[in-house]
Amino acid sequence: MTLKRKLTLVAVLGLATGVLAAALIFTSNFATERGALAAFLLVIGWSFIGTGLFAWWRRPGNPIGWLMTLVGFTIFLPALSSVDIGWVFMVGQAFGVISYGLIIHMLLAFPDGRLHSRFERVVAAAVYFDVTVMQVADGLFYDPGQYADGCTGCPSNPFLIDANKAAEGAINGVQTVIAVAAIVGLCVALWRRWRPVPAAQRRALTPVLIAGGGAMTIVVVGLIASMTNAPDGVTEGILLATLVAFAFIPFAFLAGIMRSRLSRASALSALVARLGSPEHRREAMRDALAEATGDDALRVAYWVNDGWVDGEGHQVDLEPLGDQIAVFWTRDGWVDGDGRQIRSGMPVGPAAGAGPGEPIAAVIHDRSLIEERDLVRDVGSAVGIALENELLEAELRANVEELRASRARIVEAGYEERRRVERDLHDGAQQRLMALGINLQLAKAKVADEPDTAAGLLDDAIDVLAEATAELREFARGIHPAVLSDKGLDAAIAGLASRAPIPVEVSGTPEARLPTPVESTAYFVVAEALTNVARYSRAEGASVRVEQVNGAVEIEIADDGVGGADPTAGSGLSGLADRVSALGGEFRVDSPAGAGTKILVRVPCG
Amino acid sequence: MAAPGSVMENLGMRATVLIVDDHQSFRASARRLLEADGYEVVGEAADGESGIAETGNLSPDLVLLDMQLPDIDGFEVARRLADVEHPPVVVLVSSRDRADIGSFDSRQIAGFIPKAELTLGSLAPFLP
Repeated sequence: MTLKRKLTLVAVLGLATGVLAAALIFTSNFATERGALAAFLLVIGWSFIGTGLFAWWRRPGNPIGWLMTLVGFTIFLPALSSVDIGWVFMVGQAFGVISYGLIIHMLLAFPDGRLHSRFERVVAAAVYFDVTVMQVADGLFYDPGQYADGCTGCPSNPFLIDANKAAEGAINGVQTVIAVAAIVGLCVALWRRWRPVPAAQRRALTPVLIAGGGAMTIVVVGLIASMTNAPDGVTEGILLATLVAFAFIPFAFLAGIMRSRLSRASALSALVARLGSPEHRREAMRDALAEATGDDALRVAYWVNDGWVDGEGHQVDLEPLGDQIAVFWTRDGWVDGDGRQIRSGMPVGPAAGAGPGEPIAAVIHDRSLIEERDLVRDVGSAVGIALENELLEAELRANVEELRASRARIVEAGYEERRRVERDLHDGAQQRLMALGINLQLAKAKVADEPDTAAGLLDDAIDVLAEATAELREFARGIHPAVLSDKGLDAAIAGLASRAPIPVEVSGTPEARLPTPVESTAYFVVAEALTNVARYSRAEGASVRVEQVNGAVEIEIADDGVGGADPTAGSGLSGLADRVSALGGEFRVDSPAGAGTKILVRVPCG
Repeated sequence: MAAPGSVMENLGMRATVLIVDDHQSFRASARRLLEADGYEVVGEAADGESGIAETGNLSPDLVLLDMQLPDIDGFEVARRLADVEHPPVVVLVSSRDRADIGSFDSRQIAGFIPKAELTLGSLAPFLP
């Protein structure tokens, strides 16, 4: 059941209960001053229920709302004592004062709905004991017909053990003592609560404490007055004052709750603390937000690999949202479901689809929070900062991860290079030298008997030797080109271009020598890129531009081939990217299908 | 020049050899050497599978088998050659040293010759 539906149901129930209570009073055979009694019960009961529901709706996470509502319902309970049925009459008597207990509980728990100290819990427990156990005990000795002020026509008490006025009076006395002690305790607790808070927060707290504490004090005065057999006028005056004070309480509470920055400030500072703590995890972010906004159903989702997931990585569906709406944290701040930027806070607007481009996180919250502009703005800023931190942290983690991965790849590339060297040597020069050896042996064997055959074998040997030498030279250049060490990048790239199978236009190569690692990296980027051009691009021409700009070398290799190069597909480009990134450089491949390939590299020279 | 002390030589027959090696230059040199040594090189194969197939077709007396082949290695080829109808004498060759080869099953491989030591007469000890 949604919150709204639940609250509507309770409201209807509250109205019906009030009407029922009034009906009971007006149809009573014995109740006196029916109109006044019914009017007071309805005004106070409905006030509590109405304001309670409103507070409940606006602060779903704060128990004060439903406590107030509950008080409203219990206000109607004394109406049962208008019924001419013994046990119903007595239920009204026994539980007619339970609302006092709830009100004191509310006062103790204001504004966040929780009892904070052992002292507060003891006071609350004492009051509940007083208005339930003691009141029920009192009922066992209470005979309405024999009561001093009389109750003409009241039903008899079916639970009566003994119509013992002395016993009832003693119980009443204990009840009064407990009540007075509890109210004093309440005042102490409220004073302790009120005293240390900053002036701004006191402003909101004060009316609640005055209305609540005042009403309770009047109750105490009334209790003492009835104990001391004060004149009727005084007792009635006190009763009237009590009722009026009670009627004020719900509105004072409501004003306090709605205006109070105490809960918001403390929730917000708790939120900021929790979000800022180093051990905060994504689930903690959700919990902290839910607590700060009082929206238990609030969810936080993160945009990971093109999908929404919660803090634990479970998939989150953003549709349908029902009574919730989603807002999105992007690199540009908060935006609503339609991608409209929201100037402040967690903002307003319907959710649509998976949200706008480049989302980072989404907060899915109750639609009613839209009304809480101040709270939402403050929470939104705090969350924005936390998300920003989280984003930075995630980026940092990703960078570290990438660094670790590229380091591993560089090491692996080193081993792979050794394997390639071994394989190339084995398959190439070594095989030729083996063949050369065999030829020479054979020539040696033939030289005496068949000198012509031996000469032919030696000719073959010379050819094989020439091939082996050329191969070794090429091989050595692949390991590290001598021309690069001797004459620099300019000459080395010119050499690469001249050996390429397609025309390569070279421009802007720096004549000044660069640091060796930069020179080597630049050379191998160009060499690998031109090898790829020759192998895969089907290009008719290529260009190489190497320029020294602002303390960095910029290298651009472009071709007019088929494009579609994938730097992650093991084309040697990823190895180059690692080499470049090891020097703190940038590596970019721009290779749309059908439109050639452009590799852009920037390596700082410092 | 003939394989000295060879039974086949004594019977007036030249021993037949199949060369299995993926390097063309080595195959050419080995063929020249073996022919000069009195063997009849009946075929060449550039990888393991075709080496096995050619052995089946040609039934050579001896297979000069490179250890490192592009598809399956020489040991696997030797293992499968041991199962053919007339198993040839298998002599393993490699550009690596004897120490790099490790042990091998002498029922499948008669012996090992480093390529650098392949000379006139070096195959004779392996033939009956």
